[in-house]
Amino acid sequence: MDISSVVELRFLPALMEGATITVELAAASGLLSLLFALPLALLSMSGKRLLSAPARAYIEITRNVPLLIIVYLAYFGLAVAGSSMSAFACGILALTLQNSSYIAEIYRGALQSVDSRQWEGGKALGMTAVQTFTIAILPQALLKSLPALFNQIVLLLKDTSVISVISVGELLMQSKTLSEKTASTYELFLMVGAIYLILTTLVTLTGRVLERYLSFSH
Amino acid sequence: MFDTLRESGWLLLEGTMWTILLSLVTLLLGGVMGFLLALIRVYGVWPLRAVVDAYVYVVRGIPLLLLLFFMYYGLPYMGIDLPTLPGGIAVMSLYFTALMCEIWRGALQSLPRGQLEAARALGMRLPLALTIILVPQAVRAVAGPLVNMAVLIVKSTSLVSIIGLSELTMVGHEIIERTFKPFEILGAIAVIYFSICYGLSRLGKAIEEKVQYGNP
Amino acid sequence: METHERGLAGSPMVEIKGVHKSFGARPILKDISLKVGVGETVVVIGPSGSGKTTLLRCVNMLEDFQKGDIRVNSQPVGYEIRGGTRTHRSEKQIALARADIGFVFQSFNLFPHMSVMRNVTVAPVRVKGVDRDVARENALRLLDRVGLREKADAYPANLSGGQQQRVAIARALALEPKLMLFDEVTSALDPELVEEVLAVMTELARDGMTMMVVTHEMQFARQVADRVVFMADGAIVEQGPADAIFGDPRSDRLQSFLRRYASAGSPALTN
Repeated sequence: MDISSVVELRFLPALMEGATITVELAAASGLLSLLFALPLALLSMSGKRLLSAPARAYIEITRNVPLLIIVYLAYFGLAVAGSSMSAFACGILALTLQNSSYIAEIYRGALQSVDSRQWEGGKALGMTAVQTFTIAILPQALLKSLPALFNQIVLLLKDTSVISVISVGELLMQSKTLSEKTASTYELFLMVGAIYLILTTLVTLTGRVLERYLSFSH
Repeated sequence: MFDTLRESGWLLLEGTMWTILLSLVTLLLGGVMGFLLALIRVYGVWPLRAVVDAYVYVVRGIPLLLLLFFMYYGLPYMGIDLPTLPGGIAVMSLYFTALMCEIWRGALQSLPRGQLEAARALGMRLPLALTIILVPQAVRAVAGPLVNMAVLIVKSTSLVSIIGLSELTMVGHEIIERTFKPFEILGAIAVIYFSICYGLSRLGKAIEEKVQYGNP
Repeated sequence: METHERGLAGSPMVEIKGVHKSFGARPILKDISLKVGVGETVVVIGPSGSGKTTLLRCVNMLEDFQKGDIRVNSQPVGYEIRGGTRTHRSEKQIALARADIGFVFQSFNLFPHMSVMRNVTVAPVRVKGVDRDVARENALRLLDRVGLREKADAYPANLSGGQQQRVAIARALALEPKLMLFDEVTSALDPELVEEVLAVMTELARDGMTMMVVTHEMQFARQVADRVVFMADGAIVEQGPADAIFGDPRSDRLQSFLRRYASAGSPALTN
């Protein structure tokens, strides 16, 4: 069995297009989540109930509700609000809403795991809390959170498949369409699986390489 | 708004019941099979370990929905006539077995090496050592991650609605189509999922504290 | 404690012949040969990396070795030599042999989910098929011997390091072994807890148990050892009665090693 009988080349254009959208979805919501999660994490760790309670509530709610429900809520919400946001953007919104919570928790764990003596060290050097944080604590926390962050990116890539329900043409949507059109059997899904596997493996490997590189120069 | 909820209340309850049932079955099947695979992964011979490794790697690298789609759209074209319910259960179990294998593996490997060595030094062979020394300790170590997995399972059951299996989300769809009140229904569904998942995670925290050693 | 002898009268309890062990390309044990007589207490000392712990672990096959032969009580443990060929014994045979050898670990390795009583009785009951009540009685007697009878229902997490180690000794003794192996059993203990464990070991030695002890406790070695073996770089450099080893060291290696431990009773440095 040579590879050309398994890899049905006629599927590739559509699948590649789908894969591109998958990556775009993941990249956009990934970046937004990484940004949004930091203030979210800091708020959730605040000593002031007024600040931490809403943050914690947001995190717990979005963590404990299925992504599919969040997608539907975002979709219907935007429709009712008369927004002209595309399904693609809606997908990014839904993914970001949930992912920022996961990433906020990763940040929180990493920040709390940084040795508390680092704070004392900063004080001893005459740095303010903010300075200590940005110069000493944050970089260490970010480094520590890298493995979990890369793992989360993998999960995010897989979660993009759920966006297919609102007819965004990402990879899984393409496979469903093609499957119905061409009545193909396992080759199609095998290819799709392989593409996902390649994407997730790339992310995982990048994570490991980055970790190693950063921990050497540390 | 509340009228809608009252009317749909029973349907939602039924949907919730299916969700919980599906989750339990997946948790059980996945938990047991994942445990067995983890034993192979940690104590087995190299060829078997490689097979389990490959299986876990592949399943963890692809979306659950893809597997569900393959079962639903792909199998019929291959001449396999599998009803959706057993198919859905099979796919969920297949998927979560791989994830469970990883947490069982983590639990078994988190045990100090000295435990198995001490058991061996006392003349115990692997099966006996596993049964009375290692697995009891692994169960304590796996409790926390297991509850997290349960939360993940409950959330994932929503995906089977996409292939037409009846559970909470599917029921929600049906009600929305009838009543055209998406927000009330989706809101109620969100509350139900939240209650189950948040409740589970609180339970998980309580369990994690209870299984610490040092309690006389 | 009875010590039966199988085979020829006067044959040694432990016979180590020509043992070689490498870890990949690195040699860990080089042609080690050693005999331990019945009732003898042999203490093995040496710098870290000398292979003394590895040698001890080879005796009950916790580690394997590429060349050589080890017999305990005239029975092979890990490898058998039949005809000219050296075969690895089965898991079952090795487990049987281990039940006659007691091993005490540096990190105690008590089973945390079991009470002290259960820790001590689990092996006799599940491995040797001893009746549960008989095992309990024996356990109480052993716990008495190590001074921990009242802790029978406690859990390891509630015991001090010294107490845990004494329970570990009782657990090893519960199988009525012919040989006891001690692997740096006090190295992980706070200094004030070391004495209680050494006291138990001293008494065991005086009662006639055959013992191989790897340790940094020089005072203990001087007082209790029938023979001291000094190892370095995977080989036995010098051995003899305690007075000779400590009082009149011949080799340079041993002399420089002893200089580092100049004051008897100085706290042990762990590997």
